[in-house]
Amino acid sequence: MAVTRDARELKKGSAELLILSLVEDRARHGYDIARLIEIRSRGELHFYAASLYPLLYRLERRGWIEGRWIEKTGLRRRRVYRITAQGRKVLAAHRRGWQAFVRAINRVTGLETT
Amino acid sequence: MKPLMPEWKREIQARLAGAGLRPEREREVIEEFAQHLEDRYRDLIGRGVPEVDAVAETRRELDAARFDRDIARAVLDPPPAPAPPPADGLPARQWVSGLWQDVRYAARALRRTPGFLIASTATVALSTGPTIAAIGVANWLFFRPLPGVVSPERMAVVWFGTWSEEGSFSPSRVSYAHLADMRARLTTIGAITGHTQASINLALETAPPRVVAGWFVMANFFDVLGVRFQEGRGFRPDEDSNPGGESVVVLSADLARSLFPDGPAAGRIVRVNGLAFQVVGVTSPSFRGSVVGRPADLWLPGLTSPRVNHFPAGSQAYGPDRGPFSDFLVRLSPGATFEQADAELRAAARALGDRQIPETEKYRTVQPTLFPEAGLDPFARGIGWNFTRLLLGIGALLVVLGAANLANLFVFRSVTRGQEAAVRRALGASGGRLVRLQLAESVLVSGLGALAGLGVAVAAKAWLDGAIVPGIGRFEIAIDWRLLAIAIAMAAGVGILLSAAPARLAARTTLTGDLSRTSRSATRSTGRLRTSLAVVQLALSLMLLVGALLFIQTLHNLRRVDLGIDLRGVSTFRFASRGQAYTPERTIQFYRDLLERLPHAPGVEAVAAANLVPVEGVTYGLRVLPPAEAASTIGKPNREAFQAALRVLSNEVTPAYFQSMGMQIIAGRTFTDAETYVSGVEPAVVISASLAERLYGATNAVGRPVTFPAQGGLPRHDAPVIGVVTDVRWGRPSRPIEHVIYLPFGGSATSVNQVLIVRSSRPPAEVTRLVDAEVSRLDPALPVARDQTMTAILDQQLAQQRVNAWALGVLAGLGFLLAAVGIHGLVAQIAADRMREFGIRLALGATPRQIVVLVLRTALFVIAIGAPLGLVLAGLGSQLVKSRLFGITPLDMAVYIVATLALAAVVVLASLGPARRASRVDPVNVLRVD
Repeated sequence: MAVTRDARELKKGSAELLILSLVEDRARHGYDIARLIEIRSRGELHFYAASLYPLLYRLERRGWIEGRWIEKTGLRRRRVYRITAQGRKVLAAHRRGWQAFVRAINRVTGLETT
Repeated sequence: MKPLMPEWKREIQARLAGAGLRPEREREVIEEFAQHLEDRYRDLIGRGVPEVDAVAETRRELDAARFDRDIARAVLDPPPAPAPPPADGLPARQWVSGLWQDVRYAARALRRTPGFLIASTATVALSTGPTIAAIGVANWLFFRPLPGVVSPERMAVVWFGTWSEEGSFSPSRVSYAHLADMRARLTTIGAITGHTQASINLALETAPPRVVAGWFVMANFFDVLGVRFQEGRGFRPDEDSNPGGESVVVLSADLARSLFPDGPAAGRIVRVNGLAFQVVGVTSPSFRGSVVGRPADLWLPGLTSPRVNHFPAGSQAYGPDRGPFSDFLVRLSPGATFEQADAELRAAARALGDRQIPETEKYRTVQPTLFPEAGLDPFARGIGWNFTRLLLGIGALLVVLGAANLANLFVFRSVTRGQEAAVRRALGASGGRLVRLQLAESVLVSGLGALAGLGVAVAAKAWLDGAIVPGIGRFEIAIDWRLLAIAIAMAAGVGILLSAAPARLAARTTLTGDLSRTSRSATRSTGRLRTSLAVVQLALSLMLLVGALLFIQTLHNLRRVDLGIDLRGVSTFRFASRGQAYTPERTIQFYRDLLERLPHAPGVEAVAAANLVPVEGVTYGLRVLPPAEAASTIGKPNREAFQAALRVLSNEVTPAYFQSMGMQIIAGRTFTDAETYVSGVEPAVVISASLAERLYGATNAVGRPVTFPAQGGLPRHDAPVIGVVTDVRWGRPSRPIEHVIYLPFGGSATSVNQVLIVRSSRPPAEVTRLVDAEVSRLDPALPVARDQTMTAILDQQLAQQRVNAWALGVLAGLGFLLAAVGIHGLVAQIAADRMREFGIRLALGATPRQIVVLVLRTALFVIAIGAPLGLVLAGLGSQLVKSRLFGITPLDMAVYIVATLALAAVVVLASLGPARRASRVDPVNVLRVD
């Protein structure tokens, strides 16, 4: 049971990492984020809207991203999300943790050193 | 071209119906979702996906089991906070609230693992509790100055008297006039006051008489000590200046409350040794007396003592050279030292002696001796120090044991929770945060444990307070703010120190070490730590067990010593006859009457009276001349005969004494009634077997004369031996047999000690009632000063050994418990770590028994290192207490072997559980874990 709990936590953690990293350099709207994930993962990862938006709203409530309606002339208004200062800190921490995790997995699945 | 697409908004709205969002928010969410779906649809069409498939694919975006619930949760619920926010270096305000959050979090975590909480709290309680109690004893004896007295460290005890070469002290009482004379010459001493203890019969018109602890004091006593009053006042100078003093008395708060529960005591009349005295004051409840261990019930002016003690009419006042006191308390002047005061005091006494008048002649030899600091009686200080040292040593040992075990428990816990910590780290919790969490947990545990430990100390106080410690007085564990401060400090120290190791472990925890359990680096270092802890615990427990067994055996040996008397069913009674103004003649008559009536009561086998009983340790001595010396000193000056004489113990007894004590008459007979109660030269004597051997070389000495040199007011004379009785061990069982000579009771009119002895098959309480009834028939106003069974007297003599045996026994038991828990945890952890290996072995054909053996190897390793270490420690330690042992050597082989076997058994038993569980593991499950 401990294994499944960890797995869910890790999945959640990695999704947060993904979203934060995608809004790190510029603000994006929801579909943009979903599309980028699919493109950059070469189709390996696909976020359904039903999963993506609850996640976005949660991050927004935590104060890690900030959502605003943007109106461009001639186009419908869109809700775009950008990263906050706190979000940047969280992203950095997540990145560190993720790298360590990946190293660990590699070590286990690769050569067992000691 | 506008592709045909369904109305997404309506579908979305339908699905969101159950989310319970506000209409405005719902509209926003629907809008956002609709846009997403439109974009998706367009993308798919743009890629060439057929329309129908595009629609289906797009619709799948909305697929989620509880879409509305997820949205609701995300939009409406407060942000989840199970994972600690991964921020470091928060501003101060947030740091404090963060700390509180840590504590609450730690409390929750502890509640989830009740086993750990109980084990760790119990460990702290059991190791700090006795230590706190021991410190309470030290508090009582040394740290806490006399309660209710102002600055006792600036006071000193002064004894007037002479010291013999052997170190015994003969007090000499100083008159008020001489005291004033010396006082006038002193600058380093601000005040002097005298005190002396006396047993007082106290009675009210409405209450039966009782014996209380009274003290005669000088009028300035309460002022010098700085005692406060709950009611009334102390003594006025004029109440202690005329011969006979004034009939006023000050009561202690406890006595006043017990005598007058319903009203003030001041102004009431009480009967002090039958005399009417008026209560003028009640001291504050905190004041217990002027000597530690001797609680005082009431105080009387010093000059009333001859009246109160019913001295004969002629000596009702003190002569010009003597007063009531030889024992004084002095208070130093500001800035003076004890050395200066001592020198000045001696000089003042010498000045008196140099006056060359008869009244001050004695000061040429009588000198004041100053003992710094008021508190314990000077003779008791050495005893007190030894006693305290023993208790503190035991306490320290217990704390070490407890600390080792606590460390074990915490390390185990942090390793078990390592996975949890690892994931937290992955999600951003910093190492610092985890350390804080660990700290919060440790402090909580040690705080709770220290509270419980205080509870243990209080329980010990309730159990032990009031017991009589030989040489010191009434035992007390003094619990005050000092003790509370120490308890808190200990708790904090223990908590922080112990969390250091596991906290560092938690901080350093990397995903490497914990998520993948097959990695051994982290577990190996904790395994080593835990093994060493277990070894230390084992060694200490073994040492304690050896000590306990040695002391228990000592106690057993002491109890089994043949005292020469049969203790069972023998009760002793003492009456406060002096306080009732009994003359010696009346006293003797009282006992004659009592001895006539009591033997007829049912169930009473024998009744006797004597000066003393054995075992108590009080002795009277007489000098006796062996035949050769008797012959050679005839006609010589008495001093020669006295010096050549043998010093033997003496006791005056009634005829039934030997029967009541269960002694055998080896030859001859006991006294007749006619020979008893005769004053002057005794008509006959009975001697002990060893004395018969010493004097005459044979146990049958009946008919031979015993020669007494001149002593005790009687001239040199002979008395015939009419009986020889079995030897008796007088005093402590460890003392050698002494020579005893028995004289008929009532012979020396000045003997002050009498005791009634009753041998009966009935329970002691019934015997007491019987005696009380008969005594009140003879004299209703006479209280029983003390009644004790002989067994109780023996127990009191053995009190020190009993304490030793008990203390070490409890310690050893605790040590075992802690060691067992430690070993169990260690073996369980190691077994858990090697689960995979066991699974593989079992799959490859190993038998469960082989697995058990593998696991037990750790336990055996601990024994192999811990046992020799423990034995060496025990051997060394037992040398330190060699003097306290009796009938057993410090290196008694049987004890060491038994202790080691017991310990080994406990270790194996503690390891069996985890070992068996390891052997029962299903290889399939184990191999699948990763």
